[in-house]
Amino acid sequence: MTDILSITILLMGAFFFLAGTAGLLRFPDTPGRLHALTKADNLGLGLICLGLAIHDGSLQGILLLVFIWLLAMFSATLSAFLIARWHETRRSEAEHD
Amino acid sequence: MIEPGFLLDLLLCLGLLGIAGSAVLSRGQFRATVLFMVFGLLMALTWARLQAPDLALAEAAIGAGLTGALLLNACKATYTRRQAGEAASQDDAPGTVFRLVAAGLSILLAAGLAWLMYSLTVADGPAAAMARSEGESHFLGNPVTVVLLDFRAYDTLLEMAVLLLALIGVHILIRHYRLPDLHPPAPVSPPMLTPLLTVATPLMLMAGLYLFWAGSQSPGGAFQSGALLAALGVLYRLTGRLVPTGTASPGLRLILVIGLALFSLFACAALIWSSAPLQYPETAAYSLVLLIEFALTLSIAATLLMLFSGSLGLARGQTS
Amino acid sequence: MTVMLYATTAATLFALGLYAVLVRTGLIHRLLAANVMATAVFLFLILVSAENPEGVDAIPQAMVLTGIVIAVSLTAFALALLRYLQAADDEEDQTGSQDGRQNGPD
Repeated sequence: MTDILSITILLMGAFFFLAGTAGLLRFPDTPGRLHALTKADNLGLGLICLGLAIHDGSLQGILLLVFIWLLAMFSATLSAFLIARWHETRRSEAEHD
Repeated sequence: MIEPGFLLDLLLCLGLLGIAGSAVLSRGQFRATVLFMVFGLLMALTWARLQAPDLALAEAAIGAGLTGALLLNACKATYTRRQAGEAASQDDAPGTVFRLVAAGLSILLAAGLAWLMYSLTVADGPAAAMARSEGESHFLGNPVTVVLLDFRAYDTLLEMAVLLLALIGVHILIRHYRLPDLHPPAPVSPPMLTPLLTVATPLMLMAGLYLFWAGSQSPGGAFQSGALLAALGVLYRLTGRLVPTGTASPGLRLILVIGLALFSLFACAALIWSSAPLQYPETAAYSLVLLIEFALTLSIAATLLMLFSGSLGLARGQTS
Repeated sequence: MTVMLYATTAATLFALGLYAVLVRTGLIHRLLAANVMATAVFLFLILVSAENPEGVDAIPQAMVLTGIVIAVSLTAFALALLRYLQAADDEEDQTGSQDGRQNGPD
């Protein structure tokens, strides 16, 4: 029972990663790509961590997974922010010229 | 019937070849560098698949992390140079005939190598057999650490010498040719960097020290730990918490050489209590290993950081 | 099966790196290609270690760990040499137009 649940959640996570990657490849501009990446991939990562946590079941494993999830969210937030900021400065420079 | 594990291996190998090919054949340094970092991450996965977790850790920290940072440094230097002045000099690309010949020979080489590798039978040589039989009862639990710090300790000793020599070479170049600073302080610091450092500092310190501590019994060790600590230093250098100086302070010099110095000292001292160099004494072996490994960690971290920094010394900058 | 897969990958990576070293003129690309070649050698060593019938052999792993660190220090030194070459080029461009060769960087 838990196996079916965790596999379903893992598959959903994989689907969101796929959608995010498709967005990264297909969207035309930087903000759009960031949008696809941050939204879909963070959800996908959360779902995959949840599925693995259900599969693992031990307290230590669950805590580690939560930790991994938080760290990955944090670094994804930061890099998305830095990329968006770089994009904005470049755009405003281009408008000034 | 194909096993799922084999499917993963197949995808991994195709990914490695595709990424490596597009990295070395792509136009533009930045693209090549980013692709090479992805290649490093895939290699880390490959090491994990091939039962080498120590290597997976080292590759993720050094191959994908620090090498990438160094290469991005070089891209930045070239970029600023292009901005400043002349148009990019046209590459004198080799002709089609040369390319075809090179491609043909490379394909032949690949086929020959693959043929040699298929026909190779793997078995324990005398060194492996000895390492395995003694490693089982060794006071260090991680077989890779046993080899690094006991059986082939002279490898590690000379490796530290190579690291230090590379740094000395870089310093000679910087001192004589007065290469410009690669990371001038940014006029405005982005607002999210301070929270990043507040979160990253304790986490990376903890992870680095854990890797050092775990290295004697499970995957981890001086190299992985040193690389992680160096990455923390790179963060500080990039955000202006560490500023370049013209000379290395005595403390920094001490940290740079302490790994090699302690190791050499131990190698000589071992001649006194046993006939051979680099033999651990019976009584205090474990604490001696920990001491040397800690010194190695510090030296590796400092050397890698200085290689990245591109300056002769580092000092604490004022945090605004 | 898996062994042959990874062996083929290692051989192809090595040849790919060699090809790129030969045909690329950009120095960074050549450096990357040399790194790819080194990685191919590491991959082969680790394959030998993992396929040992007696169990995983630690000696190749330790050697590759050493090799990775050596590779990064060599890359760092090569990149510093690259910056030196660029600086020397710039200087030559500046002085070369005025009065031929002045004393170059010494």
